[in-house]
Amino acid sequence: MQKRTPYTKDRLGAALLMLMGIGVVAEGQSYNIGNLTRMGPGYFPVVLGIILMAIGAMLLVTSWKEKGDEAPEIPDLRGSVLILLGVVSFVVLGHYGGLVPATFAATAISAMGDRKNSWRDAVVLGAGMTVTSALLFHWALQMQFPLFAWGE
Amino acid sequence: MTMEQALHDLIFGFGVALEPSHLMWSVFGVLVGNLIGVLPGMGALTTISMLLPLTYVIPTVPAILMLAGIFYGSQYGGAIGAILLNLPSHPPHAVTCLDGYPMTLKGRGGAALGVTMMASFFAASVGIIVMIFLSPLLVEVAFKFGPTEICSIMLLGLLAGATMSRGSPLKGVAMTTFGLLCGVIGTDVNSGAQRFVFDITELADGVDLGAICLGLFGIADFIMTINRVEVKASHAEVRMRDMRPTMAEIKQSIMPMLRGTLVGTLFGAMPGTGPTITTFIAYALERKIAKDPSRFGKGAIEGVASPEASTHAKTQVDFIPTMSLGIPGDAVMALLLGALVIKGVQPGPQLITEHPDLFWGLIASFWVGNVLLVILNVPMIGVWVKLLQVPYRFLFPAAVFFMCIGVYSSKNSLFDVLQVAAFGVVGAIFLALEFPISPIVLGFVLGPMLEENFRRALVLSRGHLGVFIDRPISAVFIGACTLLLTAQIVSYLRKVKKPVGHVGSLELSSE
Repeated sequence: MQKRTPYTKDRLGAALLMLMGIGVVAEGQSYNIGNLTRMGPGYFPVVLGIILMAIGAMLLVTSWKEKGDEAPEIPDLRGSVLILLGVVSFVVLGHYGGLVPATFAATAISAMGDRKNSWRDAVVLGAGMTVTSALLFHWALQMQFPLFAWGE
Repeated sequence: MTMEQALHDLIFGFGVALEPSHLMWSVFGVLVGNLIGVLPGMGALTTISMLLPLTYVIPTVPAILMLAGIFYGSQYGGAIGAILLNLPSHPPHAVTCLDGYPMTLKGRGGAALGVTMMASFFAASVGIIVMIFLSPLLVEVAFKFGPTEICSIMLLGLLAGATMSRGSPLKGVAMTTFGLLCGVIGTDVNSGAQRFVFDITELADGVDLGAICLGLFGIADFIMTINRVEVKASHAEVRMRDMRPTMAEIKQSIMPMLRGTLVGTLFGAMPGTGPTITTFIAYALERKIAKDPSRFGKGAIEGVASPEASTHAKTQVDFIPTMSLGIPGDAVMALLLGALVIKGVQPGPQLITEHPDLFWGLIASFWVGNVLLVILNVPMIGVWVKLLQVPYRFLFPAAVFFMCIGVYSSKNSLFDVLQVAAFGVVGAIFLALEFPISPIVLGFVLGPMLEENFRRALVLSRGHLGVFIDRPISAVFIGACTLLLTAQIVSYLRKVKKPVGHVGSLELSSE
């Protein structure tokens, strides 16, 4: 069952941590670091960046001893892309369309992420949520979100 | 402050909690928490972060009472899912599944739910009594806390939270650090400098707490689950009269309930130990002292009563370090703490004396909330069971929308919704690499406070790092940190030497 690969969770994780640490330290350099008595805004993040790098290095070392380390679990591509697209469509259509299209898109697009949902399921679910959303958030809770808007 | 004073304050607290407008929000919180918590895949964290924006529009005291209500409502809702569906949506319930689900298969699911309710009520009551005894003491101690002490105890809390959750402690510390870094984003309070903002004006106020939670625990979880994990709906039927355990079952669960409460209370006082680990210890204890350990895992009622009591006692007592020291025990407490800070209430030693209505009202509301839970759940159980049957494929798209609108509503900001997507990606990457994600929230909430106190402590000591071990209270916490780290290193070295059979019961847990 175990997939043998040099790119295991721990090693990829270690690489990610070290990259993040380097990025943070590099960016932190551009703020005033100061010294222990008078710490500048850069001090705390730079220390954290160094800690991240150190943990990354330690994780890399220990990963050679780790027996149960496997390749990372890759999420379903269609599902994850459509869920994220659902959220992003809410943002875009919320600005250039209003609450109604945003609700419909967020629900229907993410629903299409599940392979067991048909087009019809997604449309029905989206329509149902749109009605709920308009009634609950627009009329009942009086939220500052026009039903239809055309952006600025 | 004496015990009598504390008792007096508690009565005052009941006055606050029972005030109609406050009670209304408690009922609302428990009901909605239960409603959402029962849905598959919706844990207490997702529920609270989704409803967090609601607190912005109501006054502080009812807001916190409502959040607490949502919390135990969703916790109980999670127990329903765990017992009837074998689906732990809140990590501490992973243990409840072990014997709760077999009980459902044997047709005693209703009794398991009844015992859970009893255990929760009993443990909460004990937790309240402990709080009455402890809080006067704590106020006294807490006033001796300067920035140095606060800094060291935060460090201890963060370390404990990072290392005592599931899996690799190293990864836990990494995630805490990542959370601390997320807290750095935005305008620095001391100098006004913009940090990690990258010219995005919306980021100047920092990352949104609701967005970070919903991204990490909501969207990331959907991404990892969709089309990969079969989430089955339950067909268990439970009616009101099934909820009453038999006399024999009650007798059998009284002692485990007491022991579970004890375990939970002991661990509750320790900052940083999450409730999950508590339930595992309670379960392991029951199995160890049972006359016939082979019954466990096959529907032993003790295996439900004890862990459930422990997690509720733990939760109750956990409010003490959260409110009085500002050190949350787990991500849920961190979220509550975040809500307090947003409301302009600074958690810390002064909280009990400066906001007695909030502190004692909250304590009293635990009891009120637990009574509400019993009152609501007995007649509603049929509805919850129906809800459990909603298929996942319809549920998560609706949840995606509710998360979007929930985050939007807090500041009417679409940019915050974009952050949800971003943290969804970040969370999914970390989950795929098997990093525990709840320490991120702990770090994020504590980050700004830690930095501020650290800087202040060093200004006061003129840059002398030794101040952290020169001051006695601080030295104790630093000592505990060192002990914790040493214990981790020793256990790691042992594991490397003896690679077989290291999977103890404690490693089973989720974060």
